Amino acid sequence: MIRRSTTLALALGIGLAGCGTTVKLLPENLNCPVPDARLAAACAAPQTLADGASFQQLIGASIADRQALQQCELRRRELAAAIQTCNQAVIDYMAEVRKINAAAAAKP
Amino acid sequence: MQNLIYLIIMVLAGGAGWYAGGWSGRDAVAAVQEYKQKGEQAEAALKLAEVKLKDGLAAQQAKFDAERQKLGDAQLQQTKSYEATIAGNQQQIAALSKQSAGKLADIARLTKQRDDAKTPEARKAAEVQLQTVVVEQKAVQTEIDGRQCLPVPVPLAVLADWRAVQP
Repeated sequence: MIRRSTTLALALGIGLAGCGTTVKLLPENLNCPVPDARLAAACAAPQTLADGASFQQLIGASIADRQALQQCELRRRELAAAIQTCNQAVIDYMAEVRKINAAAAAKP
Repeated sequence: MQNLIYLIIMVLAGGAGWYAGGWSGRDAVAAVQEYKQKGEQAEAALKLAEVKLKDGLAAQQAKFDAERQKLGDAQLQQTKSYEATIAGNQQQIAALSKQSAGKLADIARLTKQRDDAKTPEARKAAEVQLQTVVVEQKAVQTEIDGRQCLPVPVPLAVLADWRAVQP
């Protein structure tokens, strides 16, 4: 008897669940898909020189540091541009969502 | 028979309840529908934004990759050029020394020419030529002095200042 009523309740539950409307919640916000490897890339450490280094070695080290700085600045600009693009995409997307909300709110 | 009547009454009562419930929940159903529609629209907007963002970032990365390649090539060229300069330093010093010697000879000749000039105009012309060669010789000598310094060890105090800030 108990088994029969349990089965009946389950069947009723499943039936009622089937009648329900599934509403998907609002989607998550945009992600900024910049690869971790690019975020983790560090700038090169400054050159080192031992005692007794010559002026030509000093100039060579300075050239290497200048080159590293140029590469580092390029990476900084690249990441800054990526963040700006992501920020703009989020602003545009949020504007779109606000438009959807406004249109829904304007309905009588 | 009685049971059948009860059953019919129960079914009718159920139906009435269902209808009444449906009527009173009309607004809720509409709200759910609207919410669902908004969700779908937002989902579509998100997908579009994701595609646009992905494309935008890919285009940006291609631009920076090209710039990185260009910078790498220029830096490689710079390193090679510096290495060649260092490797040919002694030959350059020798060539510049020859130039300097020639300029010094010109200076001596022009100095004599100026001092022996018979007229003020000739003296002035020799002086102008002399000053030009003096400036040229100084430039050559500066180049020689600098190149002679390249293999010289940097003073330790200067090197210490160069290294002063270490990360």
